[in-house]
Amino acid sequence: MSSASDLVGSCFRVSSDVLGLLIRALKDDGYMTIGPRKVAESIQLEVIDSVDDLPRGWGDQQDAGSYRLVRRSDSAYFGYNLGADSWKKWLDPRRKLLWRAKRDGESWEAEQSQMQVPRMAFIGVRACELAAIKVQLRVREVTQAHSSSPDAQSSTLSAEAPAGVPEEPFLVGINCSQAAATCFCSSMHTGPAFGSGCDLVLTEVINDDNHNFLIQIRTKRGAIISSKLPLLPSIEDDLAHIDRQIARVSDSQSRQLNISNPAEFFSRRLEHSHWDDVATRCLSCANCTLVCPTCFCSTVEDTTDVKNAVAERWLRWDSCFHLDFSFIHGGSVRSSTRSRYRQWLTHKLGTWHEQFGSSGCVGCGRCIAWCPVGIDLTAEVKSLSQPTQ
Amino acid sequence: MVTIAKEVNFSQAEVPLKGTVVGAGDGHRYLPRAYIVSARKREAADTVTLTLKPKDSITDACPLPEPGQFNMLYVFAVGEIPVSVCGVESDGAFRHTIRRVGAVSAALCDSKVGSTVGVRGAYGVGWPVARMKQRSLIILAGGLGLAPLRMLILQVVRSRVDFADITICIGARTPSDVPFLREIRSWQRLKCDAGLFDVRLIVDRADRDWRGEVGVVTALLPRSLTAPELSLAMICGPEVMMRHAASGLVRLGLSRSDIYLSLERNMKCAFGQCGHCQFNRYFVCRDGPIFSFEKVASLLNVKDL
Ligand SMILES: Cc1cc2nc3c(=O)[nH]c(=O)nc-3n(C[C@H](O)[C@H](O)[C@H](O)COP(=O)(O)OP(=O)(O)OC[C@H]3O[C@@H](n4cnc5c(N)ncnc54)[C@H](O)[C@@H]3O)c2cc1C
Ligand code: SF4
Ligand code: SF4
Ligand code: FES
Repeated sequence: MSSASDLVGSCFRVSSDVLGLLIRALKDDGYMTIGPRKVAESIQLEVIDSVDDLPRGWGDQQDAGSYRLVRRSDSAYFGYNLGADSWKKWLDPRRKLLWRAKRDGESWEAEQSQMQVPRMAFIGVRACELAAIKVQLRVREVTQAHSSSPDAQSSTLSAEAPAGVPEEPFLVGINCSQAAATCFCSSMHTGPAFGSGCDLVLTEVINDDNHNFLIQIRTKRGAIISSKLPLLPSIEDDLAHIDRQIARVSDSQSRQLNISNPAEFFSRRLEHSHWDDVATRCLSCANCTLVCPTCFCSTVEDTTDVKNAVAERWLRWDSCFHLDFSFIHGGSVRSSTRSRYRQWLTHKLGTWHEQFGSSGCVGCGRCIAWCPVGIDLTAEVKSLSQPTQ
Repeated sequence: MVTIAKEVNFSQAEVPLKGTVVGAGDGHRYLPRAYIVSARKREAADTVTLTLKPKDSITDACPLPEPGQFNMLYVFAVGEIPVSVCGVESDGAFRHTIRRVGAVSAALCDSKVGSTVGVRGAYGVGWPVARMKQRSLIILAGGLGLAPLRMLILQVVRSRVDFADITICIGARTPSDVPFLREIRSWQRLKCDAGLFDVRLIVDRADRDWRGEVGVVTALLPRSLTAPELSLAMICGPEVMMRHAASGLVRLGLSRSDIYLSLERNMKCAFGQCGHCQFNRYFVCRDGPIFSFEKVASLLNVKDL
C-alpha cells in the first residue's frame, strides 16, 4: 500500500478476530476505547479493554415500555440494537465541575476547572447515534456563536476557553443487522445508512461457518489505524451486501414519524386536547429526556465544604419534566404534566427546527422503550394530527 | 493483485466531525468575576440597591451593559441569579436593585459593603434604543419592573431633545414599595420645552400620607394618542400587567412591533445552553429578555407555555 490515505473510500473484508486487533490498535494509539458492555440486564457504553468485553451473542427485544436482553442463536458482537446509554454520556458527562472558589475573609476568587478530556474512540456507533452526535454538535455551535459577545470582549486570561480543544472522538460505526421494534430512523432520515462523520464503518457478516466484518474506511485517521490490520480485499458483492442489509433494516421498521412542516404543526397545536390525554398517562419521571441522545438541558449546583471556605459550581443534566425546572418566584411556569410533556415534544420535534435547523429527534426509539408506561411519541404525533376533541 | 471495492459516490471530502463535540471547556463561560460591594442602599422594605465595583482592574470587568440587559450575580456558596442592570456609574461600577424573595436574593440584599459578589454578563437583548430617536415614548413599569427601565429613563432624560413626547407610568403596591422614589420625584420636576414629559406614579394601596393616584398602573395609560404610529412603548412588570398594557396600547393604535416587554424565566446559564428559560422557540436569556409584542403576543396567550 503506498500511503494510508489511499485507503480512504475503500472497503475491506476482515475476519472477526480483527475486531480485537482494531481495539488494540486504537489503544496503542492512545485512545480510551469505549463500547458496548453487558452490565446487569442491559447494554451500556463503558470503557472496554478488549474484544472480550463486548456483549457477544446478546440481542435485545424492545417495545413500548419494555427492554429485554435475549440470547441470540449466533455469536454476533453487535447483535443488540440500543441500550439506555447514548454517547452523550461521554461527550457531555452527567456531572462536571465548572469552577472552584476559595474564600479568604470577605473576599474570594473563582478558578476555572481544567477538565482533562481523554482521546476517546467510540466502538459500535449506530447511524442514528452518529446523527445524534451531529445534532449535539450543532447545538454547541449555535450556543457558542450566540454567547460569544461577553467572552469575546473580555481580556481576562481566566475567562478564556482552556487551550487544546479535545480531539474529536474516533468513531467506529456499525451497520445495524436488524431494527428494534422501537426504531424509526428511516422516517427521520438519520439511518439505517450512515451519513458522514465516522472514521470506520463496520458491517458484521455471519454465515454458516464464517464470521467476518466488512470495514469501510472513511477518513485518513481511519486509514492509518486500519493499515495496521490484516486487511483482505473485499469484492463488489460485499458492497451490494451492505446495501441490501440497509434496505432490509429500513423496510422492516413499522414505526414512523412524518410531519411535513414540524414547526408549524406544533405551533398550531399548543392547545390541542390530546395534551390532556398524554398527561393522564405520563408520570413526569424524566426517563425520556435522560435516555434521549440529544436532550441537552442542564442545571448548576453550588456546593461548599464544611468550613464554608471552598465553594464549587457543578453542571449536571436536568430535565424539562422536573417541576422546578421552570420555577420562578411565585411558582413554576409549567406546573402541569400537560405543559411539561407539551414542552418536551414541541421542542424536540418542532421548535428545535427553528433553533438549530434540524429535528431534535433522530428516531432511536429509546424514549419509547424506556418510558415506564410505554408512551410512544410516534403514536402521540398521530393523535395530535387528528382534530382536537 | 485483487481489485479493492471502492464505494461509489464516496466523496474524499468526507471528514470526521469537526468542532467542539466534547463539552469539556464550558467552565469559563460560567466563571464569575469578583466585584466588591462599594455601596448599599435600602430602596424599600424588602429591596436593596447594590453598587458593584470590579475588584481588581477594570480590564477584569464585565462588558458595559446596555439598558435592559442583565447580569448573573453570585453569592459565595449560596447561588447565582439573574438581575437586571439598573445603572452603570462613570467608573464602570454596576448598580443592581434586588428584591428579597428567596435564598440568593436575600443573601445579595444582606451583603455588606466591602464583601465580594460574583458577576458575569452582560447578557440578553436590551431595549430598542436604536429605534427610539424622534419618537414618542411610553414607558410603563410595575413594581421592580422599573429597575431594568431606569438606565433607559436616565438616557432619555440626558438627551431629552432626541425624542418627541415622553410618558412614564410607574406603579407599585404601596407608597413604601416605590423604588427610586427620590429620583422619580426629580424626573417629575423636570421642565421641558421640547414636548410632553409626563411622569406619573400610582399605588395599589395608599397610606395616610399618600396624595397621589390609587389603582393599577395600566390606568395611567393615555386615553388616546395623537400619533400612535410615531410611538414606541417599553413595558416591564408582572406578565399579566404587561399583557393588559400591551393590548391596551394596541387598541390605542400602536403597532405590535412598536411595543416591547421584558420577560422573566428561570435562568441557569444566561447564554442559551441550559434550556431553562425556553419560551417556545425562544431562549429568553439570549433572544430576550426584551421582546417585541409582535414576537410573543400569541405565545403569551397560551397557558403554562
Ligand atoms: C432577566 C431577569 C432580570 C431580573 N432582574 C431582577 C432585578 O433587577 N431585581 C430583582 O430583584 N430580581 C430580578 N429578577 C428576578 C430574580 O432573578 C429572582 O428573584 C431570583 O432568581 C430569585 O432567586 P432566589 O434564590 O432569591 O429565590 P428562590 O425562590 O429561592 O429561587 C430558587 C431558584 O429559582 C429561580 N428563580 C426564582 N425566582 C425567579 C425569577 N423571578 N426569575 C428567574 N428565576 C427565578 C432561581 O433559579 C433561583 O435560584 C430577574 C429575573 C430575570 C430572569
Ligand atoms: S426523542 Fe426519543 S426517539 Fe427521538 S432521539 Fe430522543 S430518545 Fe430517540
Ligand atoms: S413520557 Fe414517559 S418517560 Fe417521559 S416523563 Fe412521561 S412517563 Fe416518563
Ligand atoms: S438561561 Fe440557560 S438557556 Fe437561557
